[in-house]
Amino acid sequence: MTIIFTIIKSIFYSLVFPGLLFTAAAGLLLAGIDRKVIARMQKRIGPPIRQPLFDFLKLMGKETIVPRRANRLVFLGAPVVNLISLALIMLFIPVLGFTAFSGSADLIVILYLITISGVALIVGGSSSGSPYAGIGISREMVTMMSYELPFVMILLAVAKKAGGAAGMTFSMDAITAFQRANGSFLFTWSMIPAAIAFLLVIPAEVGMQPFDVAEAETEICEGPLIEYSGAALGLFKLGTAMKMLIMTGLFTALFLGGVSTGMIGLDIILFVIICIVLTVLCMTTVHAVTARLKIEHLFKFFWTFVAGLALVSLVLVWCGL
Amino acid sequence: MMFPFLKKAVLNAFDKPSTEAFPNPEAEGLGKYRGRIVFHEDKCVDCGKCIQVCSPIAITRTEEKVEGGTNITRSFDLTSCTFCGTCQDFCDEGSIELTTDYHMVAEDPKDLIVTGVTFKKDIAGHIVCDTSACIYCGLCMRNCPQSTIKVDRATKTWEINLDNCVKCGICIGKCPKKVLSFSEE
Amino acid sequence: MAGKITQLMDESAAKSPWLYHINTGSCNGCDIELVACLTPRYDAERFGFKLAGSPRHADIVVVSGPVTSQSKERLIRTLAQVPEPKCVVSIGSCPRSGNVFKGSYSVEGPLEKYVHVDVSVAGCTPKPEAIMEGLYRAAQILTEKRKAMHK
Repeated sequence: MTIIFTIIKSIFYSLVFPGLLFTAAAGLLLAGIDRKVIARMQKRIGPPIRQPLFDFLKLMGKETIVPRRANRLVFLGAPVVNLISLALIMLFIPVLGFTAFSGSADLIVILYLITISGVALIVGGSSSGSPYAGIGISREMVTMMSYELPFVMILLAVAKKAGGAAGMTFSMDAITAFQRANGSFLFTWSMIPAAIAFLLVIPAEVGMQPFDVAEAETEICEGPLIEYSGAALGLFKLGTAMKMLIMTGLFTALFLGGVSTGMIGLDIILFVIICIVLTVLCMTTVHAVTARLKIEHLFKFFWTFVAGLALVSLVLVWCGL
Repeated sequence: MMFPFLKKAVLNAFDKPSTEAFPNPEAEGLGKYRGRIVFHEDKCVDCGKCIQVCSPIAITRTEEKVEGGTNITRSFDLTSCTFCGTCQDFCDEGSIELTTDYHMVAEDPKDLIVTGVTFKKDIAGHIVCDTSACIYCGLCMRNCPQSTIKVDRATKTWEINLDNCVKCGICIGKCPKKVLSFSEE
Repeated sequence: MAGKITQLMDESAAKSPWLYHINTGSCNGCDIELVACLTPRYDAERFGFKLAGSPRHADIVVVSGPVTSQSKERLIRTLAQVPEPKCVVSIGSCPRSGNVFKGSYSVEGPLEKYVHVDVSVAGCTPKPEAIMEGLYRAAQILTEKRKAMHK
């Protein structure tokens, strides 16, 4: 009996909340708010907040063309893998007080699942056989290399800080519990450089301007996505929207952990509001005032400035501050 | 500062958008935009100047014989027009007018063709000049759309090439001494 | 339930039309006016219009310019890559008739010879308002075409 209950619970967790459905709905909301706010920042009226949903539904209703040179299985499988890996990440990110799954190495799993979604884009793009996709893939790989280094350093700093004297802990539960006891990391002075570095990693991870070199639509026609159409493109666009929620949610979990109202309904609303604020702060505003970087500038920026900030935190934490 | 437009962007977010309404009634009839052609068919004298000056060959003319005259259909193809306005400038009678109406959107291209039918009475006679009163000023020569009239002031001659004459009557209107007329026969 | 989702898909076809712009030897006048539609003053994005980089992402193909012999083959190949339901909008006089270039040895227009043009916007060049009107009408046609697809 309990086995059946556990199975039903797991299915509910992965498909409805906080898995696929919740992530998709909240992600589309974030993407809509992002588009609306950037329009207002450019003195435009902007599309309605439901616009990403319309885009997604329209793409679902369109013809899906598979290029003659493409490997059909890989080409159509990549967006699905991308979506599944993103929906799975959300299971490990606590929605303030609520966690679906928690083990002993959540951060490592999240790190790998995020990489899988990036790899799915690369594999899907490379199977299309377009030269534009080839350029996009090489840029996507460099972008991944750029932000992974500071990203891992931030995660290490958080893990060390939460683990305390006993060593590192990669468990989300332990990180949340530590912050509940000792105050959020965002207000711990030794973690502030890491928090700033994480805010700069978010737009690169999602693929937002000025770090959207891989999908530069004006120069390489959206890079890896160039040959995608219809439902497959819709799934990738949904994946981008979900990534916005996941990255801002991860920030909430790592640096604002322990904030909780005690009620699950209020927690969800507060979580989404925090994600919206973070989206506007670190993606929309930066997008509105910057132009796209060159790939070498992006690489330099992440390996010097952002990695430097993360390293400061890491060293401070290692010294026991 | 690293982000020179940051303050502007944040201020704009709380400012009124500068977007115009759609459809925008305030944009109607503004400026010097040359838009949809309006053809006043009652003013046309069928001189043919507009067809001669039209560079993209957007104006066509078809004839249809009816009782006591000819129905002349003139059509302006707006999907072929460059809206240069030369036909408007050359039309002496002011029958072609380029309005500021820019709503030229159609699913069927036939909606973008402006036509007008002019009735032209059959005139038996041809243009004659009363050379006794003529001062050979040459206004008729300069205004003739088909260049049929030749006036030489030195030798005091007035000639017309009847093969090319379209009997528009512009020369009659332009003559300062009123010496031109249609002959009786 | 399935019917409701299908209906939602049909309706969103008109609400999120993505544009792909092909210049087939245009003088650049119409291209500038098309881009002007996306500026803050006209802001076509409030109706969901967006410039797509690839013809595979497009719903509305915007063609400007008389079809020159150099661009003819590229035009046909690009149009074949656009997934259904799609709409073709011609901007200006050139794609419909050739305008002042008609009769030239290098012009192989009009566009109607190669593809059915759904909406034509006349003017040389059309105002951004007129282009917006044409695109808006094309978006409505997209919904009809999408409905006809599953009938």
